[in-house]
Amino acid sequence: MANRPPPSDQLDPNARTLWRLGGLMTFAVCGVIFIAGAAALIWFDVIAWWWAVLAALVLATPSLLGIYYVPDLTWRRWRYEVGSDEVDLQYGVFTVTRTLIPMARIQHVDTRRGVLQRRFGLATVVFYTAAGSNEIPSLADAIAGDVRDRIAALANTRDDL
Amino acid sequence: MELESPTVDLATIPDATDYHLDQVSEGASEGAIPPLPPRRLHPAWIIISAVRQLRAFIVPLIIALFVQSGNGQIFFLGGGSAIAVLGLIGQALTWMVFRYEVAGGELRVRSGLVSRRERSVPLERIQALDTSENLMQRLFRVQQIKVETAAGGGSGSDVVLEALSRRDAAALLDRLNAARFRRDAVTAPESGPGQSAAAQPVDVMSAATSDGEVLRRITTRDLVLAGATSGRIGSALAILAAAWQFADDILGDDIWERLALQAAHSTVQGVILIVGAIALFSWGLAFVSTVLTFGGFELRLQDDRLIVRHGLLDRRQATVPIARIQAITVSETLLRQPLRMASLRFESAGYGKDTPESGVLFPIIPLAEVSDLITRCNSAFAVDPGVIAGRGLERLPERSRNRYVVAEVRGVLVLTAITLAVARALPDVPWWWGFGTLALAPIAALYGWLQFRDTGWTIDAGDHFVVRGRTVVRHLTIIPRRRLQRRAVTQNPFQRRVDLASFSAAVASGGSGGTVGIRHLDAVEAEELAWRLNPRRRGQDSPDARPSETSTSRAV
Repeated sequence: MANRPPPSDQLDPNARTLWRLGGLMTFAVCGVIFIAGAAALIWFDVIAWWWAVLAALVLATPSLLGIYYVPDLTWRRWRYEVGSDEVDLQYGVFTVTRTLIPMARIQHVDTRRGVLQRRFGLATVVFYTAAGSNEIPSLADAIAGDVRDRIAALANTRDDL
Repeated sequence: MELESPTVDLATIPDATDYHLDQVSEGASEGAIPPLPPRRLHPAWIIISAVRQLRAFIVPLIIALFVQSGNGQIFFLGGGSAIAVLGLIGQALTWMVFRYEVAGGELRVRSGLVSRRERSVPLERIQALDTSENLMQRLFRVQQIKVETAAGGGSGSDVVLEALSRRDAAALLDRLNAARFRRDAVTAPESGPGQSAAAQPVDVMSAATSDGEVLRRITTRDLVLAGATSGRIGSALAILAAAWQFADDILGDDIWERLALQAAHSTVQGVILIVGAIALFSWGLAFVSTVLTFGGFELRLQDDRLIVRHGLLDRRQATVPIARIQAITVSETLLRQPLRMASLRFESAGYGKDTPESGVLFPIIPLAEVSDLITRCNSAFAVDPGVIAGRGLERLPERSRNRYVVAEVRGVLVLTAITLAVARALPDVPWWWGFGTLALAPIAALYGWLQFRDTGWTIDAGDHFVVRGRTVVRHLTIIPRRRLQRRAVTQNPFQRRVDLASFSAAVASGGSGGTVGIRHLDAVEAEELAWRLNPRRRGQDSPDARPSETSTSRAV
């Protein structure tokens, strides 16, 4: 954004591949639904077959481009820093958000590993305040454990709501 | 500190042994809260809850009685009483298995006829206690106690004990309060307010409030003013709509035909008359409901908690620990703004916005007296009256005015596009009627400009983050810096072009009211603000540091 240097650390580079894979899976599901719908419409003579092909091309091309390029942008923008008194996050491709969470306000910290994440050796760190949760997605397992322990150690565990 | 229950023989409850065990272990730890043995609700609960459950059946039943005749009536009466009896039996069984107790530093509630449910709420986690009596509960001389926890804002997170005899309520409140305020129950066993209330069965409402300092009471003049300027017209219209629906159910379809016939002959004056009558009627409803809700409003300070008490028919009392108030909001509605009157709300982690009056600190107060009142409530919120009046706030840069105005006007343009499409689709309407909504554009522009003009913020000398903004109502929110849970700065591509950004901050809250935001401020300023709101030293954030912080804010 402006004059403050961005947070220092980046996510694991493998995150891009993971996100692309997730995007492709969503794409596959949507594709199956689309093909089924188009087949039905063609079968009942509602539309001609070339309409369906045209629509498929118009929808699929930008989607595939997005699935390939957006994770790269997201990854490049996603930055985090676990400072001594605050966690500093910056993310977002079009709308950029920078969030600061005081250590003293963090109630507890989790690491989470999804099925796909596990294949890539990645984990998500989630930390909770009394006003909701924030996460750092897709860090390498060892680093995620590290970040979690660092936040847990620095966070004031005393509850003073 | 054994208490006799008037309704339940403790010896017959198997869990009474647990209670003795708890008592032994509790006795060993220092300053422990005396446990309260397992106990049922007041038997009146059976009737109260049965009536509440059957209320849904009553209206159709009455209608059926009117409509049917002869055998049909007998059939419906029989069916109705069968349902009522079954309901009563069901509620009686539910009442039989329900137990609440205080033991091991927890409030435990056991319930469930078929599937058992046990809940334990650690006493330290209780955020606020609400006592209330609606008409039905007043009839049976029982009270409802609602225990608010910080867990989420969902309705399932609160424990509600719907019918307690006043003596039981006093005993329970005494235990819960003792734990929450870490009052030493051992050193002062005779002088506690709950103790005296438990000894003689008196109205706990008056007993609990007989001590403590009255900070402010609503005057009749202010009550009338609050009713006349209340923003509750929306809820009044909802009541009106429900009544309409009811009339529709009873009177049937022909009334609409008759009304339609009349409408066909009606003049413009007639329509205006009807609209005016509806407006006047809903205003009257709003007036009455406000007066009934906030009548007798009283704010008291007792030790380190605030006691908010109000209601003419349904009486309500909320006890809020001062240390758990996260933010205070001063709201000026459009009608009250010219009168320089405002209402006060507090944000506490235990409170959702489940009812309009929850979290109300004071329903109506002259703006000039706000500073004095909140300072006396909680010196951690001592803010200069000038700041509350909006003096010395930092303002938005000139270039953000367009963003506010354009955003509102854009909404009107979208609306116009929709109405144009609708007008074209309708057969008897000239298409250009769709432009009618364009008349709203100047109002939208004015609204955007008002938002721009009223937005402001500051970090005052007492280390409070003060934000003012407007939705329709103008809000000024005061947050002690150490209460901030998170700050965020966001910038979308449009804002990036003109170097603007939006700032938001959140405090712990049961509802969604815990977030304050400033749209379209200078990007560098937004970032600086986020950094300036950094809690300086961690040591200051612990509860032990509270007295020192209090004294620094007093010095302001």
